[in-house]
Amino acid sequence: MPRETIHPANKNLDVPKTFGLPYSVGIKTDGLIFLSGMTAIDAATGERKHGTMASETAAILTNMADMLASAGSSLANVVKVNAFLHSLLEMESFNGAYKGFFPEAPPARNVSGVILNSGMKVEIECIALAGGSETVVRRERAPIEPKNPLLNNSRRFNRPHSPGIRVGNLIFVSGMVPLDPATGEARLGPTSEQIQVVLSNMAHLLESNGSALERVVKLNVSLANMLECDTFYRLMRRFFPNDPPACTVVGMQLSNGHGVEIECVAAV
Amino acid sequence: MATREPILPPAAGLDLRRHYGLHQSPAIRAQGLIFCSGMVAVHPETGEREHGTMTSETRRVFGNLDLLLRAAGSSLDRLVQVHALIYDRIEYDVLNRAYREFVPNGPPARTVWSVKIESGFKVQLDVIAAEGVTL
Repeated sequence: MPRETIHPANKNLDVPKTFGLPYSVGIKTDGLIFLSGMTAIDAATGERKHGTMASETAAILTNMADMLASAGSSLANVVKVNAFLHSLLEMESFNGAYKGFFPEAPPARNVSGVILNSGMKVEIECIALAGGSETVVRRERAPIEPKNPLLNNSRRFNRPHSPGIRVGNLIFVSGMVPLDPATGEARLGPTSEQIQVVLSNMAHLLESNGSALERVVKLNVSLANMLECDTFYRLMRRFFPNDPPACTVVGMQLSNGHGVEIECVAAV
Repeated sequence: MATREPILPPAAGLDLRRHYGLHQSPAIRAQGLIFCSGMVAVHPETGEREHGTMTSETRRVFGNLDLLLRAAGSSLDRLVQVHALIYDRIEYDVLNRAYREFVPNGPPARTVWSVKIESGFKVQLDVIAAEGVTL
């Protein structure tokens, strides 16, 4: 299954490049485009464009249209939007600014309130149809497991989730927290150590199932402390040296003293 | 050309765009997957919000999700990925108790997000399912 990095035609929209971050703006695979979480950027300068909920939403969606056009798609082809708001009290202004960009049959959407980076008010990511001719009709669905049984916390703690699900040529991985591969116990050291443990366990899970970190399309990272963003990006660079995945990082409360939880979508 | 098919609300109360002005389709079918909008506990016929306990809301959301996925040509046992949004981590075990009733075998990949949820709901499920029925 080919996995292709998206490059925005307008270089000012290449946020990872501008800010020196180790992720891609988007990845195309299996007839779908997965875009990284986008915040308001001035398309003329590449600088952050802090503003109101309405102005930031409009800036993001305008840039998203441009980004999708660079990948041969468009807003009309978006199937799913995930919007992260700094406060749900702003739901109305978000919704108001959002409407006009999706006049017909709007995408499925999920909105939640989280901690955002850099004082931005909203961050938006999407999945869109790539607009090519390849069509998938039926996808076989099968739960996947890591070869190391100590890392199978669903089974060990009888949790109602699978470590991941394979559907056709895509794998969706559950949120992973730092477990020591030698003991299966939680590794609650510094966040930097937790991140490395999670990413190395993620590599193991994917490699146990015919994929690998190089095949990851999208990473979703939850941090208990957004000040650790830089720590995450520093380590992400090490684990994803070439053609890194799309990525969204947000802040939220995590369980049991974990500093990080990471899930991903990967191509087989 | 690959297609993108919006799924109509399977019951009058599940049209959140009409009831609450949320600018979204209930679900979109594309590339063999069903991408659903965040689901909350509303009455499937009236659209009335049904705030309750973590357990009652979770059961209502799964009931609604069952209706939606069937209308889209899928089902709960074809769920692929779930983001379970809950208002507080302290309810994690309570969520799990109600949640497992609906995904008894080969449950979907899942990440629990402790985040703010619209309108004071305790739980919201954001899911992707595979099209088709289990053979």
